[in-house]
Amino acid sequence: MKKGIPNKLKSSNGYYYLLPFRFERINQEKEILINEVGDYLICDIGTASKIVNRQIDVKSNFFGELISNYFISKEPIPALLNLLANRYRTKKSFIDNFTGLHIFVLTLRCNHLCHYCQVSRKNEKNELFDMQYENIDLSINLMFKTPSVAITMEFQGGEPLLVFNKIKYSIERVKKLNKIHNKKINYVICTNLTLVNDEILTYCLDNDILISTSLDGPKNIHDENRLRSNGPSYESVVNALNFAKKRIPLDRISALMTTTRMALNHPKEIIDSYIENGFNHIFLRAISPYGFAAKNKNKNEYETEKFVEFFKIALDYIIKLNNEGVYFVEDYTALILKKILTPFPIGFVDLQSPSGLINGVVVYNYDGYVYASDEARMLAESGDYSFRLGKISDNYNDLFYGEKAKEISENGSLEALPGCSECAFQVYCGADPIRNYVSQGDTVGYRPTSNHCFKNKSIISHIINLINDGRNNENEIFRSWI
Amino acid sequence: MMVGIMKMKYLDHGFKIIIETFNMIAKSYIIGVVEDIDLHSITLKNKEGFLIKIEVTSENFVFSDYFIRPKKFSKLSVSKLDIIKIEKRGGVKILFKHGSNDNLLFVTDQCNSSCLMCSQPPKNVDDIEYFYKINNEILSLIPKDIEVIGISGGEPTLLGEKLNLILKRLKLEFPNTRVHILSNGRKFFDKNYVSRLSLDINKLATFGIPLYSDIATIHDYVVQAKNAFYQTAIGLHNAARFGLNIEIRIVITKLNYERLPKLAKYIFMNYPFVEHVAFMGVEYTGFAVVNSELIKVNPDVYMDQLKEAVLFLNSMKINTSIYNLPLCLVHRKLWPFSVKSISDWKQEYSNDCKLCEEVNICGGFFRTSRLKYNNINPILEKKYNE
Ligand code: SF4
Ligand code: SF4
Repeated sequence: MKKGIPNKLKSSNGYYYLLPFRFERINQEKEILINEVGDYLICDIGTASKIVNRQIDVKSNFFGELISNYFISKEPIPALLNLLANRYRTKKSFIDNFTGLHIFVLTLRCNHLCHYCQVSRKNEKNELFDMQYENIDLSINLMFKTPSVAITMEFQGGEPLLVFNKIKYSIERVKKLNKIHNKKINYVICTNLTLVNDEILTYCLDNDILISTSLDGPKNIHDENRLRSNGPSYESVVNALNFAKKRIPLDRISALMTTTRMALNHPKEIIDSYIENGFNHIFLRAISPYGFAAKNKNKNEYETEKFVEFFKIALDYIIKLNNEGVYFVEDYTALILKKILTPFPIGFVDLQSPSGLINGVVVYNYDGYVYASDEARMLAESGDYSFRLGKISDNYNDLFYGEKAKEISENGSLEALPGCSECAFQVYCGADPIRNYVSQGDTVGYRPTSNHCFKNKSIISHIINLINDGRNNENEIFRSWI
Repeated sequence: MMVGIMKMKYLDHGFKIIIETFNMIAKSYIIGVVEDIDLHSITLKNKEGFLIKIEVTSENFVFSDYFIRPKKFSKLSVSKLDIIKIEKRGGVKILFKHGSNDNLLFVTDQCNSSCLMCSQPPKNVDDIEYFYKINNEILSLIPKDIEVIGISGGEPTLLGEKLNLILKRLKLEFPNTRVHILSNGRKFFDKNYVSRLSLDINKLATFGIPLYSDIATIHDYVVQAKNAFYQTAIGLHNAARFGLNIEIRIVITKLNYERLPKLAKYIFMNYPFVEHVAFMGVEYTGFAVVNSELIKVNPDVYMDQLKEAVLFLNSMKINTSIYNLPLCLVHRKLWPFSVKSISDWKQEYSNDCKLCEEVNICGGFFRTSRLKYNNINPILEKKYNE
């Protein structure tokens, strides 16, 4: 070789091997190939078939691209197998930490009468529906047993502010015990805000507690959904919100909305009302099939199709707002985007496989029992104890690794569920055996008629089409969300 | 061989001049810190603390092997506290510029790759021992609080154990200095090697490692070495695993510019741990001149791809820079990423630049570059809207 004059390097040609990947048509012209760690290539329809039939030209750049992105390999054991393994480990690293979200239901009592309420609330005065101090102590002990270094302690209800003294008691106790455990602890209170006062807000501010509230949209929608025992609640929420905003920074307050049948026709108004109230993000959440929501079938049973339509219109509108210079994020999209566009895992329990049940979340209920998730304790309210892990007084291993836990995890991995195992969107989706159980009768479920599957498939495929199209700066906007 | 030079010892009350003869057979050079400089001589202080006066004179009039030719002296922009090397028979070289952030330890001319645009083509010479000695002298002479120092070649990992020794010395004696090592990272394929290196290295050290394409065959072709891509790819993960800081360096050529956006995405998905990505214009010297047909591409041709790649990485919160490109050839949106990267002694501006409003933030171009840009376009209005 003469100095500095390039050599053509010999390329090995001929056969290549397939690595695990899945594919799906996303529109009339394109299909998406998605590998085991979520890297995707959007190609012309027919590409997957060409790959499988060994019709890819080994000298083409596309061939090189397929290799770098772990779709095929020149050797039976790919040269970069270790990289793929590292990537896989990273994507699944949420499991290493085990349970991060610990929900404390300190009371089931509530001062609201929301018709979709997912927990069947009890009369505001009946203290039988509060958690005993003894059980609070035991729950905290269980929480500290988790290997996770970062944990979230979330107070739900009922309306937890009805027992603010017990919230305070819990947090003070956790703070003291944490001197030994040294965990990073986030606190969240989920509240309808109607009971906030100076004392509560000061306490939240001092302890860096996040306040999560419910806002279903503008007054007419919110009031239709969320009744107080003494009348409509919109005014009181907005007043409370304004009261709170003056005392704690807005980024310490977040709001959740639930999409009911009425909301379906008003995507823009709902988003506008969030902006009016100072929020820069919204979680467009379909109503879930639990608790009162399941019973109130007439009022809330709308086809998931309609929700998906609503979601698309809302997302379009949000993208338009971003293009006009309003930074506003749709949280569910942002979570899915993080799965599509980054090599990192997300901490959102509904979009995980193995499912977030127990692995990600656990509920200590006022009734003295531990449940696999928020949904599991709602089922219990209607008399079904299938996902009750045991008593708060039981020992940690029996609760978190016991028979019930094993049973639940049996059908908790998309990789092993019929329909999901070969679904292209598997890496972006999540398993939910309890939802399967509630809506379809068993934890395996049946994908062709599953609303949950339909919803996720439609939304994921919509997001992918937006990424592929990108004509309204979707790509820049999406990247600013993650 | 007897060499007569003035040797002075620094004492509290001044110089004690000992004119003596001493034996210099072992070494063919003198290295020292410039203590004093005038029109006729340079006074150096070597690592033993001796002051050595070197005369500027022509060969015919010296009584020492060590002198500086007047012609060289007039070109030499040496100042006090620089470290220079005086070679036998009149050679002189600046090894360390006082106050500059661009100093480096040059460790070898050898390399296991042979990049098509290499500006410093590798030589197959047994020079490791030679540079190792020089570098150790430099390390004894430079201030312990320097902010940053580079290590470059050739390929530093070819030093084997000696690289560990240099790094260890830096770690012990210069704990607050950022060490920046330019390596092709192929050796990092061996995880035991990386694991040992990680023990010897200062926490502030960064390895600058080139990755020219997301496609193995393109990268291998550019660096002219088979399997280089795989070695570097696995090397990057090994480096991350043992906590080394990594910078990825991408020289933009005709061979890789089209895929810069894909390369950016590939880097983010597979090496999101890198602390910096640098896109670099070519210095047209060395192999880059020999291969200019193959590699040369004007910045305006690749500006769209560069823009997409840089903005992508930036939006993914990866620290990104552009090196070696004159500002007027870079898209305005990319100005915040443009770094004045060309060492001052290599830096050059054209006649047109005199008119330019941005001459202070522009890095200009390589004086050493043999192919010049023909579309330099002075920026005449600072506030100009897209
Ligand atoms: S639930 Fe549906 S969309 Fe999700 S992985 Fe399973 S089959 Fe795919
Ligand atoms: S005209 Fe000269 S100084 Fe101005 S940007 Fe171009 S190269 Fe730089």
